[in-house]
Amino acid sequence: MNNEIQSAIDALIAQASQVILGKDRVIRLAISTLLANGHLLITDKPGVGKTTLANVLARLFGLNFKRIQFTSDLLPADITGVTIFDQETAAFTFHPGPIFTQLVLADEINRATPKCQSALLEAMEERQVTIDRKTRPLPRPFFVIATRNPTEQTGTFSLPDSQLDRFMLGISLGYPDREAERNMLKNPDPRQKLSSLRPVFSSESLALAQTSVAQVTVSNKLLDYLQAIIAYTRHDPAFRSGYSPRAGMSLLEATKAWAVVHGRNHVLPEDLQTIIPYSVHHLSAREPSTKLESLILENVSIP
Amino acid sequence: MLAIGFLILAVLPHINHLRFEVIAIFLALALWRMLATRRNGLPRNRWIIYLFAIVGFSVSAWLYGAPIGRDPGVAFLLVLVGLKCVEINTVRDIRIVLLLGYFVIITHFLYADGISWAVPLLGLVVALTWLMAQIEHADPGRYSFSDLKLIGKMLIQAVPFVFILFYLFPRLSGSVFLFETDADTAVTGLSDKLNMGTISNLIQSREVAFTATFLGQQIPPPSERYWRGGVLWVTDGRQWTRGRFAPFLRASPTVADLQNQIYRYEIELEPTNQNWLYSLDYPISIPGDAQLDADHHLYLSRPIERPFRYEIVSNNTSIKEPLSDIARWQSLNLGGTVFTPRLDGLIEEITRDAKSPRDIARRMLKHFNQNEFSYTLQPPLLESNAPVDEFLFESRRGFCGHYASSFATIMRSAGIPARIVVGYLGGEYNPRSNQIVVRQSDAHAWTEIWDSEAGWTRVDPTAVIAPERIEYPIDFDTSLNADRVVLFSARDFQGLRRLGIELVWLKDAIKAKWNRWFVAFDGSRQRQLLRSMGLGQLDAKLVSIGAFISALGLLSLFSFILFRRDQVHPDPLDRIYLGFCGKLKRRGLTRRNNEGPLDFAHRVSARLPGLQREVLLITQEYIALRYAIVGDPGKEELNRFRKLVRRFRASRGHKTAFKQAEAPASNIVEE
Repeated sequence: MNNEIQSAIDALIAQASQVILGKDRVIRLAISTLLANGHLLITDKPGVGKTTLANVLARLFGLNFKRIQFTSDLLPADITGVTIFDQETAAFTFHPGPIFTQLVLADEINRATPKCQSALLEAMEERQVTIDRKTRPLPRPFFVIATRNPTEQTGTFSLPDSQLDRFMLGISLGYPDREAERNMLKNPDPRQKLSSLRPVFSSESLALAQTSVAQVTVSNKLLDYLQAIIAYTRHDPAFRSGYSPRAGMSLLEATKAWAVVHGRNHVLPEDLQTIIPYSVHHLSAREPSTKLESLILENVSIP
Repeated sequence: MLAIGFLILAVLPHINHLRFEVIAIFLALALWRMLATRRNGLPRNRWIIYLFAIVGFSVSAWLYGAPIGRDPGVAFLLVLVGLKCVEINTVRDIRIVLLLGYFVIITHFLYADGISWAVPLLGLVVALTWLMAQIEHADPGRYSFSDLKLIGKMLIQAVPFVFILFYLFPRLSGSVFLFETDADTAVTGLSDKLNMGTISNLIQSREVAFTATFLGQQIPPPSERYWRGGVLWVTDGRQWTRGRFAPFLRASPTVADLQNQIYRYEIELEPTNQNWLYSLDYPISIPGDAQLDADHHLYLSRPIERPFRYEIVSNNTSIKEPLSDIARWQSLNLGGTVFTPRLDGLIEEITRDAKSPRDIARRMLKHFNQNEFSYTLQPPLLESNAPVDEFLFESRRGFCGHYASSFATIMRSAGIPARIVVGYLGGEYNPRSNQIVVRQSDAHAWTEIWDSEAGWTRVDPTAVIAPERIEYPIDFDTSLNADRVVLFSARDFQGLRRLGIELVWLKDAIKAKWNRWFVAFDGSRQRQLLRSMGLGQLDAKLVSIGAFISALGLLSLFSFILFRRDQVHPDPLDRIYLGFCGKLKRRGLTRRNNEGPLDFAHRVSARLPGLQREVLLITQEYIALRYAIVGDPGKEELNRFRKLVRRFRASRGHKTAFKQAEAPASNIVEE
C-alpha cells in the first residue's frame, strides 16, 4: 500500500483526535466509511459532538460542507433546490439546494417527513438529483452524514428499513470519558481548534485512498466467514430480517476500509467482527431487546 | 395458553370412557389456569394446590378405588396433569406439561387402536412438538409456523427408530403393562345362544367382524362363503345353545381331500371377548394354539380381547364321518319343544312317503318357499310357549335365526339329526387387498342335517325365501347397505355408487394393513418376522440387545452424518494451524470458534508473555497465508509454515523469562 496514503490516514486520525476527544474508534469508523464511499448514520442524543465530527471530517478531507437541519416542515425542495423564473433573463434558472455539496450533514433526519427523507434517499443511492424531470449529478465525492435522535424521543418519524439500508455504518458517539470531558471543560471552544485544522487529503489523494480500499485482498476464507454470518442472520429465528445483498456488500466494503485505516491490505476476521456491531442497523430483530451483534459474533464460528 | 388448549384437546376424547367427574376436575383446573393467565389470579399459596391435589385424588379414588388398572390409572394421570397446569410458572413447567401431553395421548391407545384415532392423535403430537419448538424460541407468545418443516423433519428422522423398536423390541404377551382391560368392555359379536331375535341387533351393525386375506389365487364364490362360528346342538324349544357335550366331540383335523377346492387364508379377527374362531367351511388345518371339535367348531382356550390373527386352510367339502351315539342322541333331542296339532300335521305331511332325509328337507324348504314366509329384520315378537308353531303358522315373518331354528326343530321331529351353525355369510371381496371383509351385518345362522350317505350336510333355509318377499328394513334405505343384508340380490354398481364401494374397499384395505402390522403385532408375529429375516434361532434377549445396539448405531450414524455435513473440512493450512492451537490447548488456552487468529494471539501473549514473539510470528505467517491472499497458499509456503509450527513448543513458555518482545506493531489491530 501507498505509504503516503498511510501516513495521510495516520495524520488524519491524529488531527481529528485533537478536536474530538477520546473518540478514537468513532473517528476511525467515520474515516473508514468515507474511504469506502459510504454514508454514515449517527444515532445519538443532542450535544455529544455529532456536528463537530462532521465538520472535522469535512475540513480534514478538504470537502465542501453543508448542513441541513431536518424539521417536520422541511420540504423536499429545501434539500434539492428549486427552479425559479428569472425576470431579467426571462428564463427558468435552477437554484441548487444544500445537497449540492461534497459532504452533507443531514441533522436530525428523523424529524422530517418521509417525503423529505426519500428526497435524500435518491441522492444517497444514485448520487444524483432529479428536479423538474431533469437529472442533475451531485459533486464527487459525495457523502452523507446523517444524525438521528433515538427513536423513543417525541416528534420523530422512524426511518424506514429501506433508508437505513443505504447507510454503510451506524454509530453512536456516546458521552466522553472522564478525562476527555475534563479536557473539554478546560478548553470550551472547539471552534477555534476547528479553524486551525488544515486539510490532510486533497481530492486526488482521497481518490487514491479509495482505490487502495478497493484493492484490499479478501481471501476466500474471509468470504466464507462473511457468508456464514449473512446466512445466519437470514435463517436464525431471532432475526426478522437479515443482511440484504446490498448490506452484505457494504459491510465488506466498510471492513476493507477498516483494514486500510489500520494499515493492512488484507482483511482479517477480527476486522469483520469489529465492524459488525456498527452494521446491525441493516438487520431487524424479532425481539427489540435482542443484542444482534453479540448473537452473530457468538454463534457464527470462523471457518 | 396454547399448551393447555392442546392438552384439553388431548384429554377430551377420554369423555367416552372415563367418569365425567374426573374430566370435569381436569377441565376446571386447566380452564382456571387459562383464565388466570389474563387476570393474574394464580394461587400464590402452595397450600391451595395441595388442597386441590387432595380433593382431586380423593375424588378419583372414590370413583375408581386404588389407582391400579387402566381407567383409574388414566384418571389419576389426568388429575395430576390438571394440577401441573395450575402450577405453570416458568418455561420449564410448560415443557413438563407438554411432555405429559404426549403421555395423555398415549393413554388413548389403551382404549382404541384404530387408524381413525391414530391420525388425529398424530396431528396432536405434531401440534405439541410445534409448541415445544415455539417455547424454545426467545419470545414466547408470538407463534410462527416456520418450525413445522423442522418438526416434520424431526418426526421423519424418528421413524426408523420407531420401526426398529416397534418390531424388534421383545413383545410382552398379555396385557399392556399394568393396564388390564376391564372386563365389562362391550364388544359386538356373535353369541353362543341363538334366541329368535338375537342376531337382528347384530345385523344392524356395520362393524367389521373379521378380514380374511387369501394367500392363494382362489377366492371362494359367494355361495361358499359360509364362515363357521359355533355349532348349536341343544334346544329347549325356544333357545339354542352349544350344550355341554360338544367338547366331548373333539376330533383331530380331517385329512384334506385333494380333489376338492382348498382355500388358504389368514383371518384378522376383531376382539369378541369370546373364544370362537371363524373359518370357511370346513377347516382342515388350524392354527397351533386353537382347538377343533368334530363339528368343525374352532376355538381358542382364552377369550379374544385384542385383534387376533391366524392362518387357516379350508376345504369346501365336508368329509363323511361316522355319527357317534352321543352325537345322534344330542342332534335328535327336542328338549322342551312344545308341539301343537298343526305342527304335528306339518311334520306328518312332509315325512309321508319320504324316501330319504334329503327328501324331507326338500319338502320343508318348499313349504317355506311356497307359503307366505317373508324375510324381515323387524319380526313380531313370538311370545307364546310354542314359538316354532307361532312362527310357522302365524307370523311367518323372520330372519335367519327363525328359519334355521324352526327348520332344525322340524328336522329333528322328523327323526333327522340336525344342528344349527352360527357364523357369517358372505362378506365383500375387496380386490384392492385380495381380502374378504366380513361385517357384523353378515351374521347368519343355518342348519346342518345328517344324511347317512353324505354325512352332515348344510341346508340354509333362509336362502329359499322368495326374494320379492324380502322386506327392506328402514335402516337399509341405501341399496349399498341393503345389498349386504339381502344375500340374494345381484351386485351391480355404477357411477357414484361404484366409487363409494371403491372408497369403502380402500378404507378397509388400509385398516387391514394397519391391524396386520401394528395392532395385531404380538410376540408370535414378531417371531415370524424374525424368522423371515433369518433370525429365527435367536432368542428374545439377544434380539432385544441387537435392536438396542442397532438403534444406537443408527442414531450415532445419523448424528455423525449430520455433524459432518455441518463441518467444513480443514484444508492443509488450517490443519497445521489447528495443530498450533492444539499445542496451546495443552497449556490451557483454547481458541474459541469465533475468535480470530490475531485476537487469539493477543490473548495467548497476555497469558504467556514468554511465548509472545513466537505466537505472533506464527499467527502473522498464518494470516499472511490465509487472509492476505485470495486462494490457497503454495506448497513451499505451507512447508515453511509447517516447520514453524513444528518447532513451536508451547511448554517452553513458562521457562522463558519475560522479555519485552518486539511486537510487529504495524500489522496489529489496535484496541
